Amino acid sequence: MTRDFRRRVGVFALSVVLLVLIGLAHQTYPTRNELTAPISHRGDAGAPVDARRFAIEVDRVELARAVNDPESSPDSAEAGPGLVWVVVWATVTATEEPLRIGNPVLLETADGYSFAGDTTMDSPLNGFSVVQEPGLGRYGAFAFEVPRERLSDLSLRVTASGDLDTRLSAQAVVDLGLDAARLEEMLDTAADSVEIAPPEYR
Amino acid sequence: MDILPQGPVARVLAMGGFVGVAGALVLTLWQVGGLEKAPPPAPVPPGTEVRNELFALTVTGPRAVVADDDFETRVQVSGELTSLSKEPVRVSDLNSVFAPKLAPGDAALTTSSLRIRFDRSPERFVTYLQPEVTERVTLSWAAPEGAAAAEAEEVLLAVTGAAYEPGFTDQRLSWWTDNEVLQVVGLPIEQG
Amino acid sequence: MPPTDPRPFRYRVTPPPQAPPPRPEPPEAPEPRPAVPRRAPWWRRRHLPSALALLVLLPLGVGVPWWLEREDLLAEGVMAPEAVPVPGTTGSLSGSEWEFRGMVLGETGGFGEPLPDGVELVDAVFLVTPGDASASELLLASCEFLAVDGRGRTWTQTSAYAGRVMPEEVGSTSFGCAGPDAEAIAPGSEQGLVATFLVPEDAVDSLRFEVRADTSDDPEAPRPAAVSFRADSA
Repeated sequence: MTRDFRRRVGVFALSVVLLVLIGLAHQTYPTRNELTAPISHRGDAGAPVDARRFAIEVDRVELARAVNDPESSPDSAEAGPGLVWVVVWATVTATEEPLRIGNPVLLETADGYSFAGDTTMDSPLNGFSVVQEPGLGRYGAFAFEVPRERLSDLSLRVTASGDLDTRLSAQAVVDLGLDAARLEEMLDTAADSVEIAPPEYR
Repeated sequence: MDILPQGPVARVLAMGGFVGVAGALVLTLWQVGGLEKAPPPAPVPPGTEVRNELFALTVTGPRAVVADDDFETRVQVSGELTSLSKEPVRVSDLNSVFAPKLAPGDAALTTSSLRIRFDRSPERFVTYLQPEVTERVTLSWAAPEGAAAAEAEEVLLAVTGAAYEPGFTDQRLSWWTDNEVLQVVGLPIEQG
Repeated sequence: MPPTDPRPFRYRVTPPPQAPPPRPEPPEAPEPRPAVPRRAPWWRRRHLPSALALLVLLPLGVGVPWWLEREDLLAEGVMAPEAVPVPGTTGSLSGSEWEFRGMVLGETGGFGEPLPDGVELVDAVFLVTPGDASASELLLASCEFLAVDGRGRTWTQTSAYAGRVMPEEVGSTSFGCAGPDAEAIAPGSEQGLVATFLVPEDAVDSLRFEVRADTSDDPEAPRPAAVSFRADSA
């Protein structure tokens, strides 16, 4: 084992370590989605959550086997096999300028799944014709069709922006405060049908 | 310790020899057709599940239907679709993953005209697939103008792999085809 | 081909050990300085010219691209134009003369649901006279109304009371500014317009109304401009 050989092994090992470090550093480089992701504000149901450009206060959550939006269709929409409708009632108030709630509105579960709020009805708060004007709270619903077995520790993620582009827009994440036991109880007493009324001023 | 020969001429010779051998190998591979693009898989009848990173789909058929749907003629294919993502997937994100063609004639259907309806509520206009929820669906694409749809006998629906990648101009991550055909389903056409 | 030089070739040549070079003699006492000092002036030594150049170029390097980008966004209409406050009740905007005639509160005309608590229905009444044919086209293509309060909150027009019966001569403001028949307002003729907003009651006292319109018919660069009228000016 010459000295020269040992030096070479040292240089080789150092190179490998540096390459691995470069690889690791590259992994941490944020993606375009992360760079322009909406700016999130967290809070709990039952109190206003301030997302700066808007505020949201979740009032209550209902489970139902069907929902009905008289504005878009006289028929009610039955939940598919194994699915249940989760209807989240909330007041949304813009702060400074007119906003629209962007799609998808998400209902997130503890095990990392997220479900998109219904976009086929006109009346939910994420309907395209619903504009949030500053200082004028709108009380209405978001409706989600979710597999029963995924119901656990739900939270609501709402994004709002002045146009269709939601990059760097305001976002509120509201913990709905419903654990598995409470959801089980709500499933047993789920309504046959819930009417999704158009948003009203609050 | 040095593996390579010491002399500069010997090194040049060694390098030349290596390039020569590698070149000859590639040339041989090219001559026997080893560099050709793999041919797409032969069409299979409906009923076999195909699975990529994004979804699992079983085209159930048994036929494709050409029918009027919302003021245009559309080619409809029935199937059972499950999104494998843990997040909702916009239906338009599936556009590039399907490559439907009419046969004979190989008239391609416009991939961006894809529309999905759930068979349990056909009046709803589906914009998102929910994670890991299996739905019986009707996939449809706008039929080309003219006689191509009326005279076609078969739909060849190619399903490719999917990758979650940044777009070319819009660098945000989205689902795109990886251009590798996983399955081609052949369905006889029924004029509806 | 055998190498002609019998010594083996090596890339790394280690020089044979040598005796260290002889130390230089210690310098002798410095000679007396010449009469003219050879040192550069202090501002030269401190690189003042380079520092000054950097001080000018750095803000320019940041500022010029920012300004160019801003001009582009303003020209494309992506960035909202800053509204010019109008002294009194009349002002001109992209070739048209605008007159603010006043605001009307709570005039639901018995249509639909009564106003919710804390919400006010505001009608802003304007008279507009396009100066020429291109001004009347720009009005039809682009005019827009905003209500702004003292805290900077802005409201767009509401369609909540669109079903109210308006006087026949009132023009349309839903898609650009037009006559009662939704056609372009004839150049030189005066047209009455009503812009309708729902605002919280606490905004009413400090309201201003903004009118926006394109100043160019170039679809790539419409260059919108805006004027603003104080609600209590009329």
